Amino acid sequence: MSNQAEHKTFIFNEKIDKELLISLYEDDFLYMEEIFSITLTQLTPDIIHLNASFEAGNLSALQKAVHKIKPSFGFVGMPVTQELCKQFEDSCAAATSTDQLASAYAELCNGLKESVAIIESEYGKFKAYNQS
Amino acid sequence: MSCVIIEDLQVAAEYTRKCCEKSGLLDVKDHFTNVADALAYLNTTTVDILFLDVEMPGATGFDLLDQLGYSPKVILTTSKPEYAYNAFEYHVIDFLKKPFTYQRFLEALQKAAVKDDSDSPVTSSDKHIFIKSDGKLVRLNNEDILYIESMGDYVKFVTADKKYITHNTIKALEEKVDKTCFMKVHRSYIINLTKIDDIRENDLFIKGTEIPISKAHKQDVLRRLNII
Repeated sequence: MSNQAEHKTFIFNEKIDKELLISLYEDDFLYMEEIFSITLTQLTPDIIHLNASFEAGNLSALQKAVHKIKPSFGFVGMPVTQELCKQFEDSCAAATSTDQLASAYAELCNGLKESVAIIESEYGKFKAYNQS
Repeated sequence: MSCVIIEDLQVAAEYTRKCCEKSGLLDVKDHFTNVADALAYLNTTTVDILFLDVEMPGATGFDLLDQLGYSPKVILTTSKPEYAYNAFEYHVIDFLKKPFTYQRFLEALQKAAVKDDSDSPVTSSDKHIFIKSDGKLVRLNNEDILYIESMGDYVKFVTADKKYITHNTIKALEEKVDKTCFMKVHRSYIINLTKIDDIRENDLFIKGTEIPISKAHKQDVLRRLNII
């Protein structure tokens, strides 16, 4: 029978910038769970709005929508996705029509889809970790 | 110090609120997700610090600063560094790029405190509120208000030369007025402490008006007076 104290270790997804998260929330995993939950709740309608803006060909609304989404990924330790959003925001500023953004938009959507899946997975891990 | 958070991204607002609470230095009065709601609040309530996002639905944080009737300390919270120049133009205290660390948040607070020390002492004559009366927002300087009297669902702001009736309650106003000069002395009265002429038993007098002091408030009133 081992007398060693049992230490819980959280293994972050490799796409998550662990150092960034720790710099924001220290080792407060309950707080991280809350932040991930809030982010998921808000991202759903925000991404729907983003898609609607693109479908409507509304360049100004599209730029504002991606601007709003952008920092969400910073708060969950995903600066790469935040940078992807920034690049798309810059592209919106330079474009005169959403037609010019089709390929960049497709790239953005793929990045968002992958990132949201990771946030969902990490949120589930935080819940399990905090309940154990 | 009192503050409000004006931010349309919920996760950023919650994070900022947590930083405020953690600092132990800030009392978060409220959080708004758009400029119109924030302005409605700020035109009737004075706060020390605004944590202000720039791009929000309808209008920007800079639009809010253009329309605000006074100048609280402003700490911008945005994810767009391009606004740094505007921030400089609007004399904001600091510029926090989202997401910011708690350490960085504290540095911004320290800058606010330094500016506080370098500012001229604020007197009651510098402070004011806006009230809705007769279909318009009326500016009342704190030093002009003698007392505020309850009238059911309405209150009466009494100055030396005029009375203003507005839809509000003493209970709600108690939280919003500047506590350095105003004080609730009875369930129906908030008075300007600097306007008291004399106190007799359980009443005080301001410009000839007799105002009751409830038993629950009497000791607090006496404590606030410069009795020698």
